[in-house]
Amino acid sequence: MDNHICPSSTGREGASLLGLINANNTVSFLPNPIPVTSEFLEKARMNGSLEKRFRFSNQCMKNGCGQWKDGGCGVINTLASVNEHLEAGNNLPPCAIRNQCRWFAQEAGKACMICPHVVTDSTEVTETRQVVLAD
Amino acid sequence: MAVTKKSKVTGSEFHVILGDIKLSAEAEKRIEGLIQQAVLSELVSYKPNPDAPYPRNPWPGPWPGPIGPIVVIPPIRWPGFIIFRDLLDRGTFKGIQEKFQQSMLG
Repeated sequence: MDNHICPSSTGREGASLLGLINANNTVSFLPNPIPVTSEFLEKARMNGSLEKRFRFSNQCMKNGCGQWKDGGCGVINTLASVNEHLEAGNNLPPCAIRNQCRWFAQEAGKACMICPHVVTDSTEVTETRQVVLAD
Repeated sequence: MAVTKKSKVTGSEFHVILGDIKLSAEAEKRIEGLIQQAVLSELVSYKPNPDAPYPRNPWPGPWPGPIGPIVVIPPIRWPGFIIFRDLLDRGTFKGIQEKFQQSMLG
């Protein structure tokens, strides 16, 4: 049974708080993810975009997710392919979800190098987004 | 009951020491849950602090980068998309990368 965890999910019920976004857009991860409550989500949303401030983990939805491509997570596939120069080696920093992480399962240590630089953003369509989509 | 806080941790960490008193596993779990809820309550208003020190290098040994900032939008209610660092302003990217690398090396 494939029970992988998505390390870059959106803030919704069932998710766990995985990390906090720093001012330089890197992520500081909690040693132990905290399951979020609907109350937390509701109140936190009142203070701005959840995903710009927090990183959440949740069950990998596989086919239920728009990023699922060719039997894997298209997000980490893409990010790994544009960062081919990265070589993580075997000495990885601690991670609470690594043994279940979808990204680690696909890209091993390289995923761990990319992961702290990913901000999951669910903002509405912006000018930048339109440009990107037009490409 | 004493409340202590380690002085060497770089992030926040809280301890409540009950001396020789050993609570039941259920009670410990309840307290853990309450602490988590208290932390979550505090974090609802969290915003990145530009004045905070850059996070320490989480890697054992030197940072194996370099890598630039990547923004991903998002895994649900698609289409998701990715803004590649090549799309960032070159000067901005270089500045961010240098600052980040300095923090990681420090």
